Amino acid sequence: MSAQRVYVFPFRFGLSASELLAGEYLQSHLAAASLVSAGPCDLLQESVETIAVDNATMRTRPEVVYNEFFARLRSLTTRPDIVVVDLMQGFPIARGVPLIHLAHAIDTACNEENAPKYILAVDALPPEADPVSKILNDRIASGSVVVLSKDGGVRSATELGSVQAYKLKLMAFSLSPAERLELKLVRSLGHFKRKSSAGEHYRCCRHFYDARFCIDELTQLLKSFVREKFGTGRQPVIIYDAPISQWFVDFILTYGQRTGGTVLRYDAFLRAARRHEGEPVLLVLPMVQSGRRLAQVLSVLDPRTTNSSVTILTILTDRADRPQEKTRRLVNAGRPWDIHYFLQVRAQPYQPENCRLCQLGIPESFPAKTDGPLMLRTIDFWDIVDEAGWKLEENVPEYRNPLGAVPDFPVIVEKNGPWLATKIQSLLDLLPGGYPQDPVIVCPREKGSLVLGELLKGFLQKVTVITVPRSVINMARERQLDLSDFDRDRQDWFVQLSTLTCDDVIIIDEFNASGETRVGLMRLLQLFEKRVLSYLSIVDWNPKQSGVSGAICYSLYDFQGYEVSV
Amino acid sequence: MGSVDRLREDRELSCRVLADLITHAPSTYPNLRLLLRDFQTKAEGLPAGAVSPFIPSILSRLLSKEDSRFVDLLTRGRPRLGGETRNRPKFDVAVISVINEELLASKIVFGVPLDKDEDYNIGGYRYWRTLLTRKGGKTLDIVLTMAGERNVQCAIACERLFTNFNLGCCFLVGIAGGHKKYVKLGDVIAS
Repeated sequence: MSAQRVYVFPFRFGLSASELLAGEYLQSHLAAASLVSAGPCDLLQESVETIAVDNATMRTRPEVVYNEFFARLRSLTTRPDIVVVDLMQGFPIARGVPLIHLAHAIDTACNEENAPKYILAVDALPPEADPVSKILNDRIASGSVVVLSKDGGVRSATELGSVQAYKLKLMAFSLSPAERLELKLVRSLGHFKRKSSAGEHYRCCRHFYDARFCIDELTQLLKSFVREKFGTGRQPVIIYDAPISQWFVDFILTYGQRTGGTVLRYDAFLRAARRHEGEPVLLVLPMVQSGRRLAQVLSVLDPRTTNSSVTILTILTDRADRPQEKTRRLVNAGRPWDIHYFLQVRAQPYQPENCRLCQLGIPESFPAKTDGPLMLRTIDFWDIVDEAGWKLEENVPEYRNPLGAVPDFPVIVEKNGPWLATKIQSLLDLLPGGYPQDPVIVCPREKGSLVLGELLKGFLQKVTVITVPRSVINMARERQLDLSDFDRDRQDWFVQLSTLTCDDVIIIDEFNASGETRVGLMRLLQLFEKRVLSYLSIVDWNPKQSGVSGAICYSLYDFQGYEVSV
Repeated sequence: MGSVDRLREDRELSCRVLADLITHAPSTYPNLRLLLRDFQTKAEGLPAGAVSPFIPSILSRLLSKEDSRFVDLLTRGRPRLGGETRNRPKFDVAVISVINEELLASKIVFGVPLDKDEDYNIGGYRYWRTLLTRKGGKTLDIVLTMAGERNVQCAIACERLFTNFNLGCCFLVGIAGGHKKYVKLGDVIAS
């Protein structure tokens, strides 16, 4: 049996620039094609440029998707046996109409003589009633089209091989929900005062954890937990108690809606306890630290649930007795309770009388409010610097002296990424015209900026990140860059910038010192006729110069720390 | 509230936090200079009364004799922002004055020609070197400089002085007031 010839058409909805795909990513599509064809396959591309469709186009001219599909199909020099239409890395938000156009394009293409088989790879299977399903159902039934999803979902006329789930997971490059929860959890620094229901201030905390970006992960984790502890039989009544964590309320109510289970607030359950007598109870909490609040809850709940088994689950905990089993023990009124948890985190509590933050007069922070400064507070900045550590500056531009010891920015981003991303988003909201519809970020191809770029890509969504090698920035800074030199070998940054559909970009960098990187990138972007909306750095060591640079400069922290070497 | 107010926290609070960080920084802190620079930036534009309460603790931290390890680290030079570790000139005595009239007086006393250019200009701070011959023929190497008015400026100038030179001792010299019952014009007071 000869190998099936495979092409990949990677569409990227919500992104403004194309990027080059190669290597393992394309190989995962090849694995999917092999599963579908049940035979050997050959990929006819070593690399492929993505088809970027930005948000403005999706809203005003969604039919572009149809045309782009056929343009790519007509450009093929060899007739394919399988075409993988890849939508896995795009953004599901508001993609409805463009996806319908794409489904129509596939449907039309199936009518052609010797039409290839199409694999539509999406992040989630469209519901049966979705127009996309209605358009493609006949094609799926005839075997012309197979729809695959990131989480292993399949819509196909025939059974695929038994290894499909494994292969599809490989294809999605996905982490486990618990790993994603750890990565996406927002750890805010502040001065959070814990108070009892009587208003007694009994503890201060340095951190507040917010899982607002993790609703899907938490839903998956809780579903698995319920399945493991309660089986598929009688489902528990879920009770929640969250006096300050709005993210948790949002999550647990979403969970209730998605699963159709009974989810009640703690006080509401107490009023209706008799109605649920004998039913298993699952008490879910956002965070357990000392267990003081939980003990209060249990002292009221325990006498009302004498005929029910109560299981306790907390999303987060600051300590664990049996980390392998993800449980900790709490003894309340002589009765031991096992508390299950999803993730252990660091809390850094202070007694009020010894609280460093109270002594310094740091104002109280409120998790649900956003009235604090948009930039980092002094104590927060220097605390995260201390936590991350220092290192000698790397990738020193040749036009200035080394700065010596600088904070370890990649580690800062790694430890505080989601929080910094929310801060950066707030700063970008200040731009004239507000947060860009299609944010495009250009940064130097260096570790700190790359980590920051990936972070923004992951959290702010709809963000296109273009990384530019230092040598190119230097040439642009010295006005010695000839774009025609790069047109020949089509490096990825060149492809992205030359196919960028929007005119406005944001430059980011881990820190600003001499301002020359900013000058180099601004000159480079001028060559591509792009406008710099803003220059954004984690730290600006040279705010006086940034103020006269001609760009709107934002940073998460700034002070005049840079001087010309003496 | 304007966007500038929304961006940053209150500068006085920043100064308070930085003074605390500087005062309690361990002797092995990698880059105390940056904390000082931050303090200087945040203190700019604040009234003297808002900043001066923090100065004694910062100065005592910089000048503490007990903490010789820190002073050693600071003055011997480490990787630092904007500069490289260098061999620092050694002086037996440093004389700091606050205002120009005091600097001129110091120059006259120590025999530095008033029209002589400075011997070192480091980060905008000017330094003049001179020699004083003692009884018995031994000499003292002396460096003169001016710190400028205001406590923050003075603290920064001191820190620069200690970083850039290897000093035996340091005197702040200048005009002082006093009770006419105990002192008269022209007296020299040492405290």
